Amino acid sequence: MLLAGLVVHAYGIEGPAFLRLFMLAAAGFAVSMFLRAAWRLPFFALLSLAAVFLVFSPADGAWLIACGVVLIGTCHLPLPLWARVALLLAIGGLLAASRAGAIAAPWSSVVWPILGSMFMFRLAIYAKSLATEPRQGRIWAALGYFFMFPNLVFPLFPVIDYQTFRRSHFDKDSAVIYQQGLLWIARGIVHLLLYRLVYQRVVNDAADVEALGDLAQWMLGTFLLYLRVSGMFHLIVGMLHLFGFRLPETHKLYYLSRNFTELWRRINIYWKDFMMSFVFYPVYFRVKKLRPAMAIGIATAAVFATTWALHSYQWFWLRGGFPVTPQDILFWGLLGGLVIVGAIRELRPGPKRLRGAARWSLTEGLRTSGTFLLFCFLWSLWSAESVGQWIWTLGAAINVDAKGALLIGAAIVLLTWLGGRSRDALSSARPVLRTVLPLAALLVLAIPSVVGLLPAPVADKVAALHTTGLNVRDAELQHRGYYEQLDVRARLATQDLDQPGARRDEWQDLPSTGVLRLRDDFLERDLLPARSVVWNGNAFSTNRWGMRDRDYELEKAPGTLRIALLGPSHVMGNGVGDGETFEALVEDRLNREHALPGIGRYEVLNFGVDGYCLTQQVRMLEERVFDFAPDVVIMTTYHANRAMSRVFLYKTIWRGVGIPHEEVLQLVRSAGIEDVGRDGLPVPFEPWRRAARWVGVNVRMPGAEIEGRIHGIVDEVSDAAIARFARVARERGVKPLVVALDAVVERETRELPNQEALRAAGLPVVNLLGIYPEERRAALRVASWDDHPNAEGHRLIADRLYPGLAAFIDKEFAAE
Amino acid sequence: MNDIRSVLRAYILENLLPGEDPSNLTDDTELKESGILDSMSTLKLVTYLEEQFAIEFAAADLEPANLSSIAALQRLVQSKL
Repeated sequence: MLLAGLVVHAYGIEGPAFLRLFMLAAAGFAVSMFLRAAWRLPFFALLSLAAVFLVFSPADGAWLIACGVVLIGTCHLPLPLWARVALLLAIGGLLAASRAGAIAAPWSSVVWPILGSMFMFRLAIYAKSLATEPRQGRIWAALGYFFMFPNLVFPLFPVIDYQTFRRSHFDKDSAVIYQQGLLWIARGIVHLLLYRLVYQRVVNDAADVEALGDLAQWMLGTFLLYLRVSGMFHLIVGMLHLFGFRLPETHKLYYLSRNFTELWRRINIYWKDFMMSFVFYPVYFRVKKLRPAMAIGIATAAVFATTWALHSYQWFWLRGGFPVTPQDILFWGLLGGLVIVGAIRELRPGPKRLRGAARWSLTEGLRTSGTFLLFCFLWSLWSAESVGQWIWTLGAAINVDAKGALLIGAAIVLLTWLGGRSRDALSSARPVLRTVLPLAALLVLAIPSVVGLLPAPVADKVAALHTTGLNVRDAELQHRGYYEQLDVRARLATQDLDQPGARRDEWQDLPSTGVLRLRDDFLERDLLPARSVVWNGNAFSTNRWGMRDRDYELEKAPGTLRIALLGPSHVMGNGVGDGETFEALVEDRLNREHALPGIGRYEVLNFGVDGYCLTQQVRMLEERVFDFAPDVVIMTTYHANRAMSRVFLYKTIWRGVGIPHEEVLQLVRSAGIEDVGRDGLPVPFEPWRRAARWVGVNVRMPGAEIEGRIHGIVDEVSDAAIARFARVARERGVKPLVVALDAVVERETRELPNQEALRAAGLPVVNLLGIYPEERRAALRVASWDDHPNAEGHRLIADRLYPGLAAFIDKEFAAE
Repeated sequence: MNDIRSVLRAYILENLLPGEDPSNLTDDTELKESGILDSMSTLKLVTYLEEQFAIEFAAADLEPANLSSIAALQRLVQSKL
């Protein structure tokens, strides 16, 4: 337990709230071990109730417990069953209305996922179990069952059966139960760290898939992200074992299933059992007069239809939305079909053995690898943003490359080897070794001097185990304002489901403040003039010209050196107050410290706008900046520009906005996306669309294909923006300068983006990439979920930008 | 009772664990957790027991606790007789 605690601390597993809870579990475990048997269940219930206040504020904690007590109490009212069910439904309806925002709740939004998670399924299981439940210890059992403390940091929680929860409590030797619990805690930690490795270093973006290798990486990566769920569930059930609940395993070698029916039984076993009890058996017994195959087919189909519906129901309580997408229907439909086929095949007589075959079997191995690869294929459908995106992404398979052949070949060989072995052989090592060895190894890898001895690629992978933030892809998505889509992308493996104490749910985006204006032209967005709001706790004001800046006259005063600064959100100053932006700090310092003959005053005008890519910066320059007669104009280049450009081009093309930049228009034409159509059925691939039109169907290019085609030209569009920036600035007699500056992202590369274009345009660059020291990044960010620099971050940028800018001014203007 | 137990043991050894050493299967062997009884084999066993003892099961009878071991199954069948 101590070893596990050290690893949790060293790697920051599941955040600070989990560490607090883990320490509470360790202390509770130590006390529980020495308690009399009769006191252990009440102790667990009281510990769980106390833990509520460790995670929530006193008011929120009290509301959570009060709500729970009302719901549990309703189950015990001395009324007929139908009346109690009606009452529960009425209370559930009220809560659902409040969750949907129709009725104001007296508690903060962070309570909802936990309240929903505790009661959305368990209440039905509990109500069903009441008839057969022993009365002794009922109150403590109920409180412990609903408020079990791991649920406070894991909203995504296994559906634990109430009878099993009660029946299994210290039903075997306590030492055996504790040992099993520690083994699963260790396994859970390993799964969660492997998940980090996959999330940070393996999984790629569907939009970046160009060949078979990328496609294989995307499919493998998205399925491997499921490690997060199995890791959390192992950790949860492991911790419950420490308090004597000998619950069954939640996941069992699911990546090594030999068919889909076996996979369904091995992956999220608790859900399968819940569905068996509530859907499969009741439906089967209703239709069992039919032929067995027919009855099983109907019952299994009912299970998958219910699973599909309940996933959306679960999402509603955890997230507040109710997603129903075509890929959901297709995924559950196809998986259900495959499981039905497997179940009907199993009706044939067939042996089972307590101990698996000792000899390696090629057939079993091939069945395992085939099931894995086919499930990867299906899982990628579920993970895709749309069916259109999925089909378009699959199209990359025709570009066979060495990486693809190697990845698929390696997966087949590894899975065939592992899958052909006996399942017992795979877990034959002693439990103590399986618990201690991985934890000890992880602890050693947490020592910086040890990591320093490793080769760079291995050290990079070890660094990924420590990385808790968003990966590069999702960080870019956050920048381009698509953060909310993480719900769709990461599904149940999402990164931030586990932060009930965080304020991310209440985090405002800029459009919701009324300061940002979305436009129907090539600029796409700008800031409204003369606005003053409070945005995420900071004063945010625009001047009469729509700059996030102090006021300036349009006419430049004599003796003034005017610098126009273009850029995206971190230039505009997301997350800092008025006057705290690096632009304001540099302006003040220039005026204070950089006196030059003939220059009486410096003015730095902030034209930064949230979400701007390079093309929009150039457009802003042409539309507005030259009116202010600047002497210097600065473009901000950064690594997320590529993602921003993709979104900008997508919006421009989808809306049919006129493209005034001839060079961009040529590129769009060359990609075949000048006119993509906005009506009609989305059909991927031009030959398919031609065929559809030939038979009279109105079709259009699907969004995923537009994105894929944009992917092919996006770098050239950025290069074109750089060339245009240099040209138009010089034509107007303005000195162009480029600043390379990222937000406070992890894994920032120091390599300058679009280097060739910058060199070709002869643009001077002040390179500020890599200025955030790794150990200070957390302190320089606005929040853990928002990697814009905070006020301290802006001061650091200003300190580093000033010398470069001053040198540029000296070079360009001192002689004049 | 012994008759029910023998029928259960014989069925499991013959249909679900052919070739297994009978001494490995005890009254307390975990049938669900060890994977001997899954959804399909449960249905086959239930159908067999219904025919053998002229009883009828309901969906509610197939709770995990009732299927956990031969002893638990024995009690379930006994309650139906």
